[in-house]
Amino acid sequence: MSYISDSKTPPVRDSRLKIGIGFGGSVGDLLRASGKGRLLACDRSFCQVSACQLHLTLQMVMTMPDSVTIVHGASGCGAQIHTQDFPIRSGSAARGVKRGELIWMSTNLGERDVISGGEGKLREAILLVDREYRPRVIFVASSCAPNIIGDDIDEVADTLRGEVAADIIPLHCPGFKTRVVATAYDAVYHGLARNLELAPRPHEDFAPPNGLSRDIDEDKREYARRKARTVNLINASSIGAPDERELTELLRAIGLNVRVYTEYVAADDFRFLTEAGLNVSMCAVHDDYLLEHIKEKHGTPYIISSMPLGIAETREWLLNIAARTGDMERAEAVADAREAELRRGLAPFLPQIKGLRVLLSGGVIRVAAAALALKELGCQVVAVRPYHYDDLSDPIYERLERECPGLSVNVAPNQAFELVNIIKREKPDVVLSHGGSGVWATKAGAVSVPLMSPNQNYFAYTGMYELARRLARATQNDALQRRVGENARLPFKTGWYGRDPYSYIEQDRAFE
Amino acid sequence: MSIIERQRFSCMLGGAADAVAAMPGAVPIIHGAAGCGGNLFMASYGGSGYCGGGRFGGNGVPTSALTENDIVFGGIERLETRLRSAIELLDAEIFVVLTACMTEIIGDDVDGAVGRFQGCGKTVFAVSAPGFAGNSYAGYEAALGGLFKRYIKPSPADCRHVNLLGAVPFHDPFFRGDLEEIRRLLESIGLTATTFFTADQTLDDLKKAGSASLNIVLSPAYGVALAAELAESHGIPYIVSELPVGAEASAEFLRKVAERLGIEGAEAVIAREADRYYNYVDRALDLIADTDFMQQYGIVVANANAALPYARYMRRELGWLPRYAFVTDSLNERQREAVEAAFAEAGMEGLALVFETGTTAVRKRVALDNPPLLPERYGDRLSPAYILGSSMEKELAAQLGAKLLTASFPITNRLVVNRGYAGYNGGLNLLEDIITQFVSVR
Ligand code: SF4
Repeated sequence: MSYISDSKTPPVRDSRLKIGIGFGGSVGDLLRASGKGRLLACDRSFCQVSACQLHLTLQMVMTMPDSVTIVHGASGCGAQIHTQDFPIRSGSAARGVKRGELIWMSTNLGERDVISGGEGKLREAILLVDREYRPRVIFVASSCAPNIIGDDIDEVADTLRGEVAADIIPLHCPGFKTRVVATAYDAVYHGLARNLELAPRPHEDFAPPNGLSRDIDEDKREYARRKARTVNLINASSIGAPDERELTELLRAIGLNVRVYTEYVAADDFRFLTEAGLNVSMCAVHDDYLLEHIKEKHGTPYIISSMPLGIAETREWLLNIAARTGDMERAEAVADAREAELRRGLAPFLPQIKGLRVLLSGGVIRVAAAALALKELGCQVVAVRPYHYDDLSDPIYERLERECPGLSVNVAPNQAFELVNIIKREKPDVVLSHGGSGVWATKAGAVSVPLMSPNQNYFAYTGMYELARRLARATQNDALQRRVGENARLPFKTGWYGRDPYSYIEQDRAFE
Repeated sequence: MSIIERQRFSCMLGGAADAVAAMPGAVPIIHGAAGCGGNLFMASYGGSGYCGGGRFGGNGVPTSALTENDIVFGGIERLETRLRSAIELLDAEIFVVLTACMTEIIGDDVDGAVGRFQGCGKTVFAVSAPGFAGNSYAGYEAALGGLFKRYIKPSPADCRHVNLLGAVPFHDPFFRGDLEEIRRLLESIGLTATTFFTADQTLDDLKKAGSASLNIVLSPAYGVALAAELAESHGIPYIVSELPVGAEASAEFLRKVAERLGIEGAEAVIAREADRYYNYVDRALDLIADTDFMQQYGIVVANANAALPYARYMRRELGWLPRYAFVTDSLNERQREAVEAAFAEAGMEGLALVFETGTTAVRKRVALDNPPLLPERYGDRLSPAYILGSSMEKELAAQLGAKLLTASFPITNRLVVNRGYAGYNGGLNLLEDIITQFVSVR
């Protein structure tokens, strides 16, 4: 974990973790193959496009107020910000963060730059941004081409540091380097942790005890007490403001002071990141890289445990935190009260939801956590389709195996051809789907409900209620799906639906 | 290619993939990283008024999905495997392999690879589309050029058939509605047309493009070079026309085409269309003529295809005073001169034609020319002003207190389905949308 301190570039998850992006079979077999480190060998002989880590990197860093982002690459890399612009602006508004228009630039690499290097243009872009917009932070996100031709973005940033007012944060996120988009978390945290101050400045942010007027030891104890009552929640683009609100409320209810990092946070507020007694991740696949670094450097312990989605997971999540902060009793009381209240709220919807056959497609932790939550609602989970798999996810998949033995898992970065095949075969009542797959579910004639959405609530108790309400609503009228299913032309030859959905995954050597 | 603020296009790969997937029975296969296709689609989708991927596009596009190892050792083997599967799995006729930056840099022999698929019963070919070689407009031309080279055979000319070039999928957000309307106009004078990208197109329409007796390029900048090539390779002559928006421009367009092809009877069609058009306009006048909606200063911020048609519509249909036309594409010298010539020919006195890719720079230019009113009682200013631009012109609109109709890429506040602004029907649509902005607050 010395990466952040020692290396310009972050490692990729393909080598840092045991990962895989192709698998079809039971959850038990998945765990076995992953345990043997054999998932990566399960390649596909047919592939459809997905997103790259640059996309998620931009999604994360552009939330920082008073920042401008330069995408170092050809004009296509980063052009998708046109789609990301609104979610980021509305995410800012939902959190009370003031944000004008999002500014970004492209170094627009051309043929000549690819031959003679693009560093000059990057330098020009940084100077222009500093002069024109005077932001607090300039992010430089490098895409594939500059990486292949060997541009050194850190070097460019270093030489400009005295010259520009902004902090320059290089981000290494070329798509070709990794199979999993989640590598972006490491790329972003690497850039933030190496270039921002993560601890308060003495004399500026606090008055260090001088030993003249007071008892220093008492001061220190007092400081430690205060710090211990503060918890950082680590957020992410896939987690909306309503989710942050609900979790914050739960933690406040047990008497904790809550702050939310790292998205939608101004650069200078990072100086207080380490002023907390505990860091709490909201999704097991996001934050280990950063939280381990903070623990190592600043001694802050952390909790990473799946995701507070569903009744049991939420209780566990809350009690886990309370166990560390010594608020067990209050936490149990809060959980009891909130659960009782939720059950009353859920009651009218349950008859409608009970027995619904649901297919889930999306983020690795989220599909598993949502599957367990659906089970609590009395639904029947047909299969889960995580975008990728890695060993950070083992605990929740082990739980999935215990609670839904033999459950089908299709590891796939979207791969609509497998999704459509499974839908045609299994005919689920609902598909809970991450953005980009709902359209395929609908064209295949299935009702789809977003598995995540930044302006909806999914987490904890109110999230569970909203999920139930949405499922009940979505399954009341499937006219659109029926009409579309009868009329839309899917791209596949009809013979495909008679074949094994995993025909194009080479997994015969998965258990060697 | 210089650095650019918030480019209103993506790269050659994106444009080529969009164009291929917008054609009937054709599949793009991206030879590059798995992420390129998804990211590039997000760019086009998000800016086009949410035009989806359709049957073979979006995140359904096949890819060779290269990773680091392949960049080091070459990605041809992966391409062949995954292309073979695509042909086996997908119900398509034309498979177009598009090379991304990385495969061009490492020099994969893609032509050799696709060569091994000749005789598989499908049309398989490659188009070089590295992002660093151009933007999405160049990708559009490259894809269409590839199609003509590899699929559309030159055939004996059908004097009643024409092709429509220059309308670029996604980056001309109204491309479907526009092309349908232009075809309707052409049909009204007895012609048939290959549009390439409308919902009704079939493989036969693509094939028929080889027998066209005229290529009509609806753009001063895009498709012109291609049309010149096709004049050589397929013996199809071409004309360049602006996209006609509104009754006046449409009549001119019909006359131009009819004259070129020696068609009689266009005047009767024009008279009939004008009659219908102004019957509708008439019924809008009760609202328009009694209000301040009557006349505005106009500002157009658009790509090379729409800038002139919009400015001209403001001036010659609405009787407004267009003051600026900002062309936000990065153009080469030939394209820029062609745009300038088209504006000059249209006679747009009082209008500044500005080539500017950056949104901030557009705003700066307007602010410099029109400093905020000093605290004096009397002072002329650029008001009332109306902007036909993209969603990124919101700040410019706020700066001027102007109305804004989003009508150029990126459009993020509208869903565009088959709406168009071209032709007679498009002119009425545009009138409706422009004036609706005034009353939508009521
Ligand atoms: S994979 Fe590389 S070239 Fe493709 S969009 Fe991502 S960063 Fe750009």
